[in-house]
Amino acid sequence: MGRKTLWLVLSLIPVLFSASWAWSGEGSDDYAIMHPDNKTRMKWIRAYENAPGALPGERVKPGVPSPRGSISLLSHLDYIPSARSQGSCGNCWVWAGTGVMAIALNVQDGIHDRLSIQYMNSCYDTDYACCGGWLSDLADFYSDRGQAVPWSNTNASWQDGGKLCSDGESGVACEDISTSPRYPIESIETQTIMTHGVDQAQAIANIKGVLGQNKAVWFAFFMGTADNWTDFRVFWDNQGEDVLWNFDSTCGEPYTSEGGGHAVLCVGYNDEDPDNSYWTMLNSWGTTAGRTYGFFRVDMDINYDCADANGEYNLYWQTLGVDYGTVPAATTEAASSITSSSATLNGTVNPGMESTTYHFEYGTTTAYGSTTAYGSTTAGMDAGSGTGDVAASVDIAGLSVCTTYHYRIVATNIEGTTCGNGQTFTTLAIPPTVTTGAAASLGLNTVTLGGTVNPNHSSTNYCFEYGTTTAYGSTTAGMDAGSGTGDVAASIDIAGLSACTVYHYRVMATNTAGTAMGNDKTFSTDCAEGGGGCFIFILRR
Amino acid sequence: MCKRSNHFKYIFLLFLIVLFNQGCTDVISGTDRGEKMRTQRIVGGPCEYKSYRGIATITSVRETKEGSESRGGHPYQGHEVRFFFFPDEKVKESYGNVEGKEYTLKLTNSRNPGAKFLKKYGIEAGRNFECYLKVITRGTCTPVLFDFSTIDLGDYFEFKEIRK
Repeated sequence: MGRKTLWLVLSLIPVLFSASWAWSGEGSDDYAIMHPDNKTRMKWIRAYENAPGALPGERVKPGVPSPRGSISLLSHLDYIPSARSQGSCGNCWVWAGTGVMAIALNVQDGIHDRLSIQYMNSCYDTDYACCGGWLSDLADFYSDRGQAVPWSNTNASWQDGGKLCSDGESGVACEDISTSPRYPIESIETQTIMTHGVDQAQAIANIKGVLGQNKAVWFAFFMGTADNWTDFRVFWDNQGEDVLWNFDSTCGEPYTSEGGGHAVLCVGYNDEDPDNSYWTMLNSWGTTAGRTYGFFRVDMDINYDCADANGEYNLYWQTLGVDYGTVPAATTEAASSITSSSATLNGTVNPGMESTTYHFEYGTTTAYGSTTAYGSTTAGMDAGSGTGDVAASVDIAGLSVCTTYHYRIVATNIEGTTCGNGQTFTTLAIPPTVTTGAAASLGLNTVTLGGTVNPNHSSTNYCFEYGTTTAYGSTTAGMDAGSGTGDVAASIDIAGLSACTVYHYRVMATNTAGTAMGNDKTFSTDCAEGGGGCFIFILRR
Repeated sequence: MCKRSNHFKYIFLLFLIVLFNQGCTDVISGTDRGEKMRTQRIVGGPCEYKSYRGIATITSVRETKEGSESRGGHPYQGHEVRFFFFPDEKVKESYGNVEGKEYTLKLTNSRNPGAKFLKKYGIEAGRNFECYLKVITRGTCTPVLFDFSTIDLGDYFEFKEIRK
């Protein structure tokens, strides 16, 4: 019995030891910020461990001090510092991750645009984004959606700043956010930058290496006590942007119920001065009196293996491998071969390696964003699937004379549609069309001349020429025929004519395109008063 | 022989227990080979605030540069509204010290208000508004926020008029 008891006691020692080790990291009241279930936890483990290295092949290379210098990726990011504030919503991880995506969009496609934060808040159905998350959650979301959305789209600007996690849902319905335009995403994945288990020089070199590829870094940090966070908030609220924050004082601290994690966007570094080397972090807490741009600096000379009292790492550095789909590029160019009724519309299209078609929209009005506002659309044309600019042109006819038309090129491939810039052209004017009409109200010395004038869409004046021969010699004063497109009755009274005389006359009209003359006609003025006729009648009797 | 057999049984039992227990440990602790991951926690998440009642005094209302408000097809003229906040009681949190600091009033959608919004809510330099300073007490959200009792910062009527 004695030996049995001994074996039982011996067998229980490792059991108790292992159990106590397991429980030490899982205090029931240690993690008030979030208590994911085991499934979620395992997902996190897989996500982090499966994330490829940001610098393939260099993850475990012995550290070699990287050259000193500085990098800022800020020029790739479109943002308004005071508007970059998450408010009471705990979605810092979305702000930081979306920043990585926006910088990648500019680097890859040259598009400088703010990406919507609200889009993920409204459309993320795994959990409410204000309740926290990780970069892999963002990558999964965008991988599923296959597109990012500009901040300027309808209802896509940030509107959940007054929301709390406990509200449970966004204030904007997903379907209310416009996804046109959009930026198609072919693939997106998290990439881990190796900073744990390597020396400081290697950790720094790895982070700098990623920034050197023009890829922004998603930086998450944990601090375990209320005092830690008070210190950081005081630093944020009262210090200027040139002051460095150092995380080393948080290493070895317990992780209490007052602890928490925060994610920010690392957009650069400067280690030209060995005594003042830092990472540039763009926060999502808006601005303060001392932080015009919403930045803070993190001391580069820190312990990258910083961990809490339980040995859990406090600092995490990741980035995103994003591959944006290439929507075609389209540029509208000046129209050519313009006549009074036709023109050739021109442009260029870059298919971006996808099979692409193009057409032109045109009309007499413009309202950008609407495909029908232009009124007319040309037939689709093939632009191929190359990578270079393709000249695009289409002849259009049936246009109105002397009219301004708006037009733009529209190119479409499987990744999306791009509308070129709007341009205008004006069809040529043509001379007026005139017809000499009949003379009326004939008297001894007077007549009323008539005719029609069609201004043909240009401001037109008309007059009549008259005289006793086809050389005319006399011209009436000019009259306004307007600028319409239909026949306008032309008429004028003439006095001072000779009695009993044959006169030639014609109508003549002029606009910017030229002068038109009507056909020649004649009239005869009366020869005598009515008594004269009677006198002749008497003589004959 | 019999005693030796019992020993093997105990050793085998011990081996099974240790093996079983180690398996549980891996699941519970959430740690694994190489990189330790803080799988128990995520970044961001719930935030709590303490409110301090006070008065916000508008110090200036200026038109913003057209470009910043017109970007993205939002062509109304924005206005930068600056204010000081005077709490009724001393703010205990050291990072919530607002004394002598000027703040900017923004709509909930991060935009500057337009002229019609200013007129609707009577916002002009020199006017006072009841306001609550919200100072974070837990979580990692924006540490200092303001809540105006009589100004609905989510009232986007002006923006919607333009959109129509």
